[in-house]
Formats: sequence, structure tokens, C-alpha cells
Amino acid sequence: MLHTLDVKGEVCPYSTVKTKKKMKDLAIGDQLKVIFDYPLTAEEIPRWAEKAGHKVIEVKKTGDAEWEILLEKAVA
Amino acid sequence: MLESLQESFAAMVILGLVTGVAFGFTLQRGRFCMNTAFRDILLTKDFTTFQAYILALLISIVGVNLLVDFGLIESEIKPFNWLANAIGGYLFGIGIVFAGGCGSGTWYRVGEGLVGSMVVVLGFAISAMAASIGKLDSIRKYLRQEDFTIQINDQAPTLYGLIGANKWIVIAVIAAALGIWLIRAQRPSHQKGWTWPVTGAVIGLLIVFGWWSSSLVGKAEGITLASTTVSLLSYPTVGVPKPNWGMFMLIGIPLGAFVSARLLGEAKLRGPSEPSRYLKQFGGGLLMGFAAMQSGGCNINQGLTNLSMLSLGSLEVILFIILGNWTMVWFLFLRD
Repeated sequence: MLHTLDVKGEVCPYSTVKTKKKMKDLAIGDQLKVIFDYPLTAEEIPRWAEKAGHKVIEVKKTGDAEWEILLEKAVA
Repeated sequence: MLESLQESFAAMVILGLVTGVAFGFTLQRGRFCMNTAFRDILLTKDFTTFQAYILALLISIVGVNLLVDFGLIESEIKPFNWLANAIGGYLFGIGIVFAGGCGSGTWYRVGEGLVGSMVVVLGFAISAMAASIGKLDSIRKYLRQEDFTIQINDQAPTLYGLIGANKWIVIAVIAAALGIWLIRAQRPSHQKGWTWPVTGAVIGLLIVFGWWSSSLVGKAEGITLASTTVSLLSYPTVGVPKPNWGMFMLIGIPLGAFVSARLLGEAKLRGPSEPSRYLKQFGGGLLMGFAAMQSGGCNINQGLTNLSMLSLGSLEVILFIILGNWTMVWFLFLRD
């Protein structure tokens, strides 16, 4: 199942903390698309996700100061 | 020729702006923020930005001491106001968590178009002005009085003075220890901006350049973001101080950050959707400005510009900034 989390306007660590929380509620195999506008988040979320054991499927710049990350929950 | 530079207003403006623009550009490219650096150690066990800071510190220690030894600037050791440094540093560390950025982080994010950071600057300027030339000045005077100041041989203490060793031997030991740690550090994944070695090296060189460039057109002061923020508010409102290198340097930082962000497609006016977040950030700015006036400078001034002179007071301030930062990060994000 694909979930979406919009954290536009949020800076670190809020964007990462909110992503962490959301991932907790997902089932293994579910995907989460995170939409954000803060540059550092494009580095912080993938780094955290890999360390936590999740899959980072895609990090994509979608526009002026806008990015999307697609994660897949791999561990409980 | 160098004497005439001292009198030149244009040289002051240009050198200040050039230093600031280069610094702001670098801060944005490297996402260089000490709130990030210290927080990530605790929150995500990520040392990337901290490694950039340590490398910048190493380079500035060597470079600034070379400037001193070649007689290009005078050694200036920050006073060891142990009480003011501890309180100011700790409160500053708490403040940057609420503000979502340290002194440098906040100023470069202004250039990226983050409205929240602009609010932080306002809070910072108001409280720092009150705490330095306004009604709250008495607090700073009390905390920084002689009774709470330690001197060694009638001088502000340095790391090498404390140990009683030659300055360059101490620098060599620090460089070896931190250098080995940095060499063994991992290359980060998912890097979008500059990698930490590039960011750290350029920041370090700019700290050295800041000392030198400010010395050409006035008193050598190096890159500092707290007192200069006060100046940008106090000059138009109450007419002090006279325009100086530091004010133009500070104006250059958001300009440089904007250019960098614009080229990367990362510049846009934006901010949190919850209104309460702006209040929180304003409060963080108020706390930072007040605290920086107690501790004698922000994280850049104390943590790089003056720590590069190996002054013990600066080391104390940056350690307490880290403690304050970790306290608040634990309280806000890790408690459960």
C-alpha cells in the first residue's frame, strides 16, 4: 500500500521525526512517499532510513525547492 | 598601500561583502549548521556535519595561528568568563533547537527563503540588542565581572598556556588526534550538497580569510554573527555603531546563500504551516540573542573564529552549546 506524507514547510529534524513516526504505523512492505521543501531533508531521511533498515527506492527533485522520497518499510 | 586601505570605506564594504558572500555560499552548499551537527550525533547517530565542523576547526587553528606568527594579525584571546560562558553557551544550545538553526544556519536559511529563519533573526537581533546596549546589559555585566573570570598569569587562558607547552606542539597533537578520527570517518551516502571534506575545508579557509580581511580595513575581528546582527538593528534605529566590516560581511551571508540556492533550484519563500511554529522560532531567536551576549559570541564566533586561537573560554562555550543542544533534543525528540 502507498501512503503519502507532506512535510512541506518543515525543517530538520521535524521532517525526519514525522517520517519516523509515520513509518512506525505502516505494515512491512508498505511504501511511503514523503513530500518536502527543505534541502537537507533530501540527505537526512534516506540516511536515517538506510540505517534503520528500510529500503530507499527513490529520491527525486520535483521542482523549485521541492523533493519527493519513496521509502519501503522493510523492518518492524 | 595597506595603510591607505584602512581609511577606505569602499575597501571595507567590498572586503566585508566578499567575505560574507563566500561564507554564505559555502554554508548553503554544505548545509553547514551546528544545530544539525550536534543534534544528528544524538538523534540519528550521524556525524557528517560534525565532521565538517571539526575539519573547519582544524584548518582554522593552523591558518589563524600562521597569521598570528607572521604578524598579519594579533593574537586575541577571549576572556574566560566561566559563569557567563556556561550559562550563555547552555541557553544558546537550547535556543538553536527551538530556532531550527544556529547562528550560521539561521542566516544562510534566510537566503534560501525560509521565513521561519527570518523570524529567528528578528528575535535574535531584538534580544541581543537589549542584552548588549539596552536595559538587560546589567545581566551581562554581572555575569562577566572579574569575580567570575579566570586568568592565568594575568592573561586569558589558552589551551597551550594551561598545559604550559609550545603552541605548535599542542596544535600538532590536536591535528593528529582529530585528523586520524576524520580520516577513518565514513563517506556519507545520499549527499546532495558539498561533501563534508569540501565544506569543512572551505569554511576553515574562510574563517582564516575573515581574520585577515577584517584586519585590512579596521580592527581584526574575524567572522562573527551575533554582535554584527545587533549592529544591523542598532545602526538604523539608534545610530550605533559606525558602519564596519562585520556589518557588510553579515549582509553578504544571505546574499551568498541566495545565489547558491538559486543556482541549485533550492530558493523559494516558504515556511511551516502551523502558526505556532513561528512563535517557537521567534522564542528560540530571543533566547539565542540573549545567550550569545552572555557567552561573548555565537557558535561561529566562539566555536571557530576564536576557538582557532585556542582560547579556553571559547572551548567552554562550544561545549556548553553542545550540552544545551543535546538537553533540548532529548527533551523534545527522544524522551519516549
